Amino acid sequence: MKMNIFYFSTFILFTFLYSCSSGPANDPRTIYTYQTMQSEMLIPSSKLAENKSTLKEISEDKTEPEIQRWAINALFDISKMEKSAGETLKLIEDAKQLLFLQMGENLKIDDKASIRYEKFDIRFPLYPARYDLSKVKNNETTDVLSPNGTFAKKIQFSIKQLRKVLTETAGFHEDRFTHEPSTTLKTLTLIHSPLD
Amino acid sequence: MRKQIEKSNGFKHVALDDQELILRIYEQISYTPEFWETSFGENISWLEAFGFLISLQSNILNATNEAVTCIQYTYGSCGCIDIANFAPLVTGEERILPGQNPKFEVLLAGIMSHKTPIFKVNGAKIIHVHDGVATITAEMGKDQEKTITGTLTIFNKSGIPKTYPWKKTFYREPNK
Repeated sequence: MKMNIFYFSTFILFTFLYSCSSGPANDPRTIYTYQTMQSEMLIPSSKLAENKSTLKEISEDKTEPEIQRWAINALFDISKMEKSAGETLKLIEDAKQLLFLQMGENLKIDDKASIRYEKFDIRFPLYPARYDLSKVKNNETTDVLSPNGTFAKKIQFSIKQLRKVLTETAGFHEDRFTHEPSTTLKTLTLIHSPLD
Repeated sequence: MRKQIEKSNGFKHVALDDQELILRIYEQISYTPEFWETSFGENISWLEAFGFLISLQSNILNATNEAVTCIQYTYGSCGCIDIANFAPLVTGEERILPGQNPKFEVLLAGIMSHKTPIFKVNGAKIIHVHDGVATITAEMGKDQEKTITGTLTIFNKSGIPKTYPWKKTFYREPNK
């Protein structure tokens, strides 16, 4: 019995030492947090797709011309926002992919050892690809996000552009009662974050 | 940041109902130079880099979703208005000539009993305003026909006033 406890304690100690030696980079708790975040990201994506699908149905209904016209305009606005968001998300996806490629990780779909669940599909840009981080073998540092690198500047610029598109498209000008088309909204372009 | 954006010139022209949305979008996808300096670095661990990238993606998706939801609710929306009660309202000519059939309209009226709307009348007198409904009287004098006009002003949740003009014509039956 005593021997069993000894072996068990040794096992725990080695497991602890091993987890410490691998450093904070591959911390299982952090990996679990990011895995959860990846799944949670699909919630707004699905909501967005659901809203779009409802509007698409309305836009095809000719029995109510006024509502149909509104739905077509709304879909146009949404496509504009989706395009801008998709471009930014793709840029970040490229950075993620490069990160794993530089580490020599297996990204082949349909391979059991692959760390990637699915490929990022540009036709559905609001669905980021998910990775099985627990399968990542390496514990390396990266310079993908180097301040002088391509991604750092492109991502910052792209996010600013997206913010401009979202606020200009979604916000109404002056009086919401008039239902002014959002495309006429010009004054919002004057807004720049003091942080820019 | 919120205060700085609120002070900006362009922001003053945004409908009050949408200002909160604009601020939320700014808050979700605006980052300080210090944030970028900390996040973009050389020789950071892959997990740190990955975490940073997915947190950006998550914020982008949430901000886009909020903006899309706002667009979806624009139809039939005049901003947020508190309505305490709804009542069917029947309008139309009550006098019909021999051989004529009645024709009238039924619509839904929202009653703002808790936030008394502002009633203004020309050529008439408001007796009282009770539960968001104004009772008005007017002198017909010797006129056979009298048109009374006025306005009704309501405020939405953000305090934006909206004034609706109204008109009503009365016809006096000729003395027999």
